[in-house]
Amino acid sequence: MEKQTVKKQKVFLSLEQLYLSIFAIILSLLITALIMLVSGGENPINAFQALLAGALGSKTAIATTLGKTVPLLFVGMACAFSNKAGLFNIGCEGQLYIGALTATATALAMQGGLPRFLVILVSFLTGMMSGALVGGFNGLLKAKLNINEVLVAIMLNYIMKFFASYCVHGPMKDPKSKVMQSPSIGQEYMLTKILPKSQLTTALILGLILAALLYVFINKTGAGFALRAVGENGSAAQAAGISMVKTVIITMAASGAIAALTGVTEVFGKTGKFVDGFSPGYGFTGIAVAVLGNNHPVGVILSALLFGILESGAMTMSYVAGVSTSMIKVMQGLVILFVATPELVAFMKRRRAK
Amino acid sequence: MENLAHLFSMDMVMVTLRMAIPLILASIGSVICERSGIINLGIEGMMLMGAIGAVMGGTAFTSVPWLGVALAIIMGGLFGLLHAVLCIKYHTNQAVSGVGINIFASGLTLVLCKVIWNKEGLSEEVAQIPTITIPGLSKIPVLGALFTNQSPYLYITLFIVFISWYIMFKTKAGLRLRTIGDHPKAAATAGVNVKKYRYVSVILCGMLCGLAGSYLSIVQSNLFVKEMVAGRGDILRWQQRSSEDGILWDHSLQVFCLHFHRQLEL
Repeated sequence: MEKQTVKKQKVFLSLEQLYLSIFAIILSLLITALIMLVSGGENPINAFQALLAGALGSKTAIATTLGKTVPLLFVGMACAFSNKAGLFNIGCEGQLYIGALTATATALAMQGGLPRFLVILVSFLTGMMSGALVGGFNGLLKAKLNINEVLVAIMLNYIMKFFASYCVHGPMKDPKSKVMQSPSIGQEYMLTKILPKSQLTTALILGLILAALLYVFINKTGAGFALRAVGENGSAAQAAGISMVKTVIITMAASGAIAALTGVTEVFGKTGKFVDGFSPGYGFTGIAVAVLGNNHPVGVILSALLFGILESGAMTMSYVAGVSTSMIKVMQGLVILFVATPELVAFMKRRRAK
Repeated sequence: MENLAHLFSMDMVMVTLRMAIPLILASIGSVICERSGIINLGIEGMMLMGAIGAVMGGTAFTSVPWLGVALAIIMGGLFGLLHAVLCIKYHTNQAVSGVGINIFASGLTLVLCKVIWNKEGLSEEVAQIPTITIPGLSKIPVLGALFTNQSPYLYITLFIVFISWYIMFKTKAGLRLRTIGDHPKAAATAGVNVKKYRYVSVILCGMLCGLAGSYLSIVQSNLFVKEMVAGRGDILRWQQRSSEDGILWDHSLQVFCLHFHRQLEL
């Protein structure tokens, strides 16, 4: 009898979270529509239709959408992973930059006929390691000195971003180009494209595999259990013998490594070079993706997809319906605000019950 | 060598002080907010709204720049209210709410640009707040520069710094605020209306950030540009922590020093 009740509770909880996420999306759609109406008299239905058509209307469109989903998938998983342990990794932005930088540097250093698989593998690993170092450092400060990880992460973001910027302004700059970017790593070392002439690469598959691995790790292993325990009740976990320090450091390091992959896949999948300032704020959108996805790998996949649709449909929406592309940002911001407010849904439910 | 001398000249001090004004305003706002126990990561968003509010008030609706400043404060305050309601009433994760506000404000300001002035990320030019010179005091040999040809914001800022220090550390209200930040339950037991104080703090923070943002658009330049705040909000995070144990003065000095360093690059 007891087992059944517990099981029911679990399912109910995740359904409720699903309702919350869907509710948040709908609410933000409504408010965005309202803003559209008020600000320009644009028909929001038109605009949303254009959005969907732009994002999913053709094979190329879908490929573009998925291509935009990939980085959000990685960074969302990084944030979700640390969230599960009750830690906030706001340092994804810096971690993805340093990951991209080190991976590019490695690939550039490994030019000269080495097997493709090896170059990609080693570059990816160095990228992940640099992200892990940054994240782990953040975790160390939090675990040993109880410094707020948000502050440290924000500062590290700046350090990493500007360091990478410095590198491509100077030592790593492509002498043949006027833009602040590194030399190309070479077409042969980039990831294979799933759809030719699109931005969708095998990085998507890597991301999905990672999501599956993370699910298994978090929910089916002892270490994953320790992580969740620390997230739910730190003191209880400690009393049960789980090492807080170790867990915090390793979690932040792993989160950093995953975030670094965001940058690495951008370089190896899209541009083939490290371009100064290439991230349109992935680090922060990642937080939104993780929260919207309720920190669950499947949720993260779906919400990364949603954000990908929003990003890739924005252009079409602005051509066809004359709505500013920034309306997407407004919508994203609203989704974040609503989904982070579980009480709002409870509030609405209570009102309906009356 | 010449450069070094210039670095310590009165000129440089003045420029540094001028550039520090928005930082000082916003960081005081965020100190107030944090002291009440609410983390505010949405400073950047509130400053952005202030920046655009100032330009909106100055061009679109009237042509008096001071009304723009008023609008900036109102808009900053509204966003502060948003953060307050979300965090206090609905117990939202404060960090997420702040990030959400940043993204929302970032998009909203650009949408406003498009809608009001039909431009992508740029607004029309607006009349600036004129600088003033205090007749008597400006004749003082070295310090006179402090009173010559400065924006009124400078004096307002110094006044705000002094007043917030005074209220925070010398009045009952300030003591209660600090208690709420350190031990909300103890404060509640003592009969302090925790919610009210928090609401006031966060809204005040929004207003100050709005004022800070308005400086950027209506004094330092004369229009609103996309992403005008350029990360200043993040730098403040460090500033506000260091004033936890110290006096607000130390804190403003630190902002001063930060800008001093910036000047080094120039």
